[in-house]
Amino acid sequence: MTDGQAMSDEWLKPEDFEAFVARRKQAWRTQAKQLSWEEKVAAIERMWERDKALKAAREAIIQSAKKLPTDFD
Amino acid sequence: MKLALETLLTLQEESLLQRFAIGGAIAASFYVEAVATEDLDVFAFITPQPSGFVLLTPLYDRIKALGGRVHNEHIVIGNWPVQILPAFNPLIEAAVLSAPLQQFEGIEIPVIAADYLAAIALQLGRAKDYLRVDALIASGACQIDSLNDLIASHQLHDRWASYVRRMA
Repeated sequence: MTDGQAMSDEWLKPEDFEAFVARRKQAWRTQAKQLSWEEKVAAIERMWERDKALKAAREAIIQSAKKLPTDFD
Repeated sequence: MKLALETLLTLQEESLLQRFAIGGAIAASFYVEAVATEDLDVFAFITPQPSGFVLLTPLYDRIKALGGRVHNEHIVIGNWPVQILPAFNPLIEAAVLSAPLQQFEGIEIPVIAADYLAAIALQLGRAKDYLRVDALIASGACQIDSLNDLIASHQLHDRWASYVRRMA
C-alpha cells in the first residue's frame, strides 16, 4: 500500500500509525523543498481558508448542540 | 502578499522606514517548509520625528492613505495583516542591517537571513520558536558556525542549552 491510496482500516492499526505519519511528514518536506517562496506563501493563505472553515464548522456544532433537548425527566 | 511588500518598499522610498526586513514565519518559509501564520512580521528602523521620538502614527497614517486599514495590532494591506515592529535590540538591528534581498513575484525584498532567524527564535524562546530553530538547522539553511557566532555575541548560551534540552 502506498500513502497515495485511500485510507483503509489497515492504516488505522496503531503499530503502523507512527511509520505512516513519519512517511507523510517526509513526503511533505520533500515537496516543500521543491516549492518556491511564492507557492509556500500561497499555501499559508490556503491554511487561512481551512482554519476559517474549521472554525465555522465548530461553531455550527456548538450552535446545534445548544438546540438539543436538555430536559430528560 | 505582493501588495503588502510593495507598500513596505514605498514606505522605505518615502523615508518613513529607514530600513526593514521580513521576519517571523514568512521569512522562515523562504528557507524551510511553510507553517501556518496569521500575519507578516516586519522588523524596521522607523525614522524618528524631528523631536527625536519614534512614532508609529505617521507611518500608519501613510499606510492607510495607501489603502491599508487598521485591525487590532495589525495593519491589513491587501489580504495580509502586517505587524511592523521597531528593531528593539542589537540582534534584531543586526538582522535587519544584514538581511539579503530575495525575490518575491519579481520584486526584491529584504528577508532576514536563516542564521539570524534561528538566533532571534532562540532569543524569543517559545516552543514554536524552538521548532523553527530545529527546522532551520535540519534543512541546512542555517550555517552552524554562523549561528554559533551569534549565540556567543548575543549571549544566547542559556537559550541554546534550553533548546538542546527540549529537542534532544
